[in-house]
Amino acid sequence: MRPVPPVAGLSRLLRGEVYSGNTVEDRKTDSRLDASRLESLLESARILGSSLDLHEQLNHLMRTLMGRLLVTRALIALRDGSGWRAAAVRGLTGVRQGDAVTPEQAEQAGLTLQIPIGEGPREAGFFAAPPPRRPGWPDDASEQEFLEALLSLASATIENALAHEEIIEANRELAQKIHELNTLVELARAFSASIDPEEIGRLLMLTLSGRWTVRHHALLAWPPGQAPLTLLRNVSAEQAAEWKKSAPQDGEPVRDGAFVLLPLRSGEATVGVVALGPPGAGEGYSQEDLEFCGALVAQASVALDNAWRFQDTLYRRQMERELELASAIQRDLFPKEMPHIAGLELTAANRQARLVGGDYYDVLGAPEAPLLCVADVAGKGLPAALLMATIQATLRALLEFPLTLTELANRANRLLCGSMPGNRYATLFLARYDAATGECEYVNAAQCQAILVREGGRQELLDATGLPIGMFSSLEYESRRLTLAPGDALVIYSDGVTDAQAPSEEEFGLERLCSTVSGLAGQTAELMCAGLLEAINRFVEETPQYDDITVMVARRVSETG
Amino acid sequence: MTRSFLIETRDEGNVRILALRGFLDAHTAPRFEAAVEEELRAGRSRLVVDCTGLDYISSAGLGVFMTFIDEARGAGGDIKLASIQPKVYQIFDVLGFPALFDIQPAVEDAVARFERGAGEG
Repeated sequence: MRPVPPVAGLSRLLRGEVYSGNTVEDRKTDSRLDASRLESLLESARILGSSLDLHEQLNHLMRTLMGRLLVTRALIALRDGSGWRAAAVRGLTGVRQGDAVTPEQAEQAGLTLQIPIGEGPREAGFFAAPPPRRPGWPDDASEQEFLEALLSLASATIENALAHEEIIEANRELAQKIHELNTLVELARAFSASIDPEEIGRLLMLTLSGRWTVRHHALLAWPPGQAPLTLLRNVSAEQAAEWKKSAPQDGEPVRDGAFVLLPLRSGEATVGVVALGPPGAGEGYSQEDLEFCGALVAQASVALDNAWRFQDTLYRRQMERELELASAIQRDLFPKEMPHIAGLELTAANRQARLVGGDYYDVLGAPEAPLLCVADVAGKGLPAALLMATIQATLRALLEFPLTLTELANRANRLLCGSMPGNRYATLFLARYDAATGECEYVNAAQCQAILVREGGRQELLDATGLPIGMFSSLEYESRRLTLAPGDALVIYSDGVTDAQAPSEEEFGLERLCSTVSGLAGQTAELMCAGLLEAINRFVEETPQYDDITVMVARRVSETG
Repeated sequence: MTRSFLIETRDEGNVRILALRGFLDAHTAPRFEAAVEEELRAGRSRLVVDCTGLDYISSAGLGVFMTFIDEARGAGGDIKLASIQPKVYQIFDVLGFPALFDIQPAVEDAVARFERGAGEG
């Protein structure tokens, strides 16, 4: 605080140089007056010096000055730039506190007594009042000097109070800046800790509504390939739909009536909008407000984008895990090793497609009359794998009963119709082989035509004998019979074989399959199977396949081999 | 970074007091939001937030007050604030809250304003 400067007039007052009368009575009166002036000055010095509150200081000055001058109207105007502004007003109707005033205007209002507050460069303003009703005024020089002294004293403390007010204002601004900085830092932390888009959105809106006292607000986001996000507070869905249309396409905020719209961006695209209603306190959004708002929304945009990406990854991982699981289930369903069947070479292979298809092969039942099956379940992934398991369990359970092959197929179909959800079905090739005679009975439920390869290379295609299982429970399947002579082989396969695609998208096809198999005739089942798979491999090269490839070869041991 | 934030509730007559302690920031605001929401859902709309122990409030914390003030007043109640530390009050003040909220020096004052039927701030 500045030291209080020497007060004009005070020294003479203290020396007792100013006396107006000559008689003893006059002197008594004068000394009483002087005493009261000194007392008042000291009191004022104490009060003014101990307070930094401008309002309090001006009130004290007003009370003192009006009391001494006996006036009911008064004005204290303080310097404001090149002019003056009313800082304290008493009993005036034309002037209110805060109004700009000039000494001339004050004079016109009848405030003809005007005393400057401080002198020269220190002049803080002026005091104005109508002519005092105080007896002896205006000849009372010592009272005038007292007033000047008082106002001179006040000028320094007023200056201090003004400086203090400025500091308070600066502090408020600083507090606001610190608060904004804290908000940014805090949000950045909170955003980075969250992977939930809704949580991020809610936090953003809480912060915006708190910072600008906003009652009506909305956040809408429509990220591609993600669930849309809608957070509305005191805003109608219709209104929100309008904003979705009028969302700023570039990064800049736009005004829409009383609302401000700020875009949520993902890369170069606008994928959402934040709408803020008018602030409950203060006077709307300043440019600075909008910039800060924009910074918060931009920060949230990045966090939301990350969260969406994360969810994408999460979904993909989930899918991958599911596929792994499906693949494991499928692998477990295949027989670990082929059973040994007298006079029969038996080999099978399965190659899983990239997305896990629904192929299944098995050899069930007693070794004297084994049941060979190759099935292809519609669909992929976990549901297909579970269906395969159901088919296997059903066939195994039915094999406990002495059923003919057609009875087995019919019952399996009925049972599976009951347990297969919706549009699920499976194609199935079932063959029961009589190890003693080489006779074979088969049911082909819409599975690919199996190939019977005679020892000499002649081929027969085994057509479908019925529809896929699991579609209609009332179906009655038919069976056919054949006999494997020594050296004859039965090649059962899934449509992944004929559908196998070369880089040119050409399919392996039945014709190529038949000629390949023909070329392999006379070899063991194992060599036939391996040779066929190799031919397919050569054909598809590195092309990823979308369907499982399954081959089963059963060859009656050649009497010569 | 976890800073502590606690909410203790008690009743004074038919006024619910929520006493806050610690840091009401972006991390802890959702908890306060849930607490106020629970009061309003339970039909308690005469709320006094006792800020004696509140050491810090961020915009997200202030947002909770904005979120529920209309609802509380619409239900015939109010959210009044009381006993705010000067440092924390400065934030309320700077952002214009005194114009929108009934802020009282002490909890008893805020409760008394409900009792006088001053439902609105």
